[in-house]
Amino acid sequence: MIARGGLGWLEALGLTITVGVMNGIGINTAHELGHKKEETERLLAKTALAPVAYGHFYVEHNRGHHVRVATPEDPASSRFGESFYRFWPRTVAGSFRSAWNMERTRLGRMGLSPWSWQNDIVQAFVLTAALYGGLLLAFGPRLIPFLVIQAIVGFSELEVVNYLEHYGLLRQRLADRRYERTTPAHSWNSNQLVTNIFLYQLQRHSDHHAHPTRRYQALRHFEESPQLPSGYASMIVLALVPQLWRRVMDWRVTAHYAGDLAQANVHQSLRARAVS
Amino acid sequence: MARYRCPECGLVYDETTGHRREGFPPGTPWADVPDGWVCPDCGVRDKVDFERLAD
Repeated sequence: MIARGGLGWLEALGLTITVGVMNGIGINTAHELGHKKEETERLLAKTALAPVAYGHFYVEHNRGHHVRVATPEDPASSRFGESFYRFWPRTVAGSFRSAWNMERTRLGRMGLSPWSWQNDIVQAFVLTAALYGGLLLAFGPRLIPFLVIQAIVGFSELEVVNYLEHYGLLRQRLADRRYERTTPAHSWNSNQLVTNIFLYQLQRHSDHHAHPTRRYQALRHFEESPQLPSGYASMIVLALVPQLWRRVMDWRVTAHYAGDLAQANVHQSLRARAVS
Repeated sequence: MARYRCPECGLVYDETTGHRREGFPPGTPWADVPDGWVCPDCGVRDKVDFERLAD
């Protein structure tokens, strides 16, 4: 439709954002598939990430985010007092850097350069390049702004969900300096029926982090985990308006830690105030 | 040659076969797997959490 012309810029933008949102929901499917042990499902996960040019998520999510979730070392765990707009560049850049370093380490053990075809990130971006290249050949360069904007919308949708899943939550350090295991207390949950059906029970997030390879149908709801006041759909809207988000969420984080923010994952701009 | 299992997801590291994708060729002893190595399937258990299986 965009390539054919005849749409006003506003209509074209609307269509672009819609496609972005759809492909963003595709990331949710990729997420479920990417946790599976079967090669076919993993390949499908990479394919679903191609339209939004976010193939490194496949590496970073399983091997980075799940390992370091709810710690200051995880780029994809948001901090108390950190707005979505501050979180966005930190997670987008940090997640890519982390994924690339992990692949470099893995391939280094095999004696290979990170620029090898066996690098999952290289594979994913070749897939994206092939898809975009094909579309541009078929429909011409008019499609470039469409592709760029829908990709940014798509992966930002993923990142806003990341933002609300662990806001302010922190795993404590044990005596041996390792972080305690991830428990239901380290993810925000929501047991809303409709969004859970759309999102493959992603909102039963605590159980997912405790047992990442468990299939979505089997995920359980925990009353004792911190609960979001609403489903992801409405929480996403809140996250886009930082003042509103903080009004709704900050006291919930404080209450979860019984007033002791020294136990929370606090953004550095608030740290001095929070722990004094 | 020993085998070690991830207590969370059941992934087994077998010293005989190693783990090619992770860059450990067949015959790589468990001791040569770095301490910071995390289970590649579930990501929530570290090398130290793995349990040795009976021979």
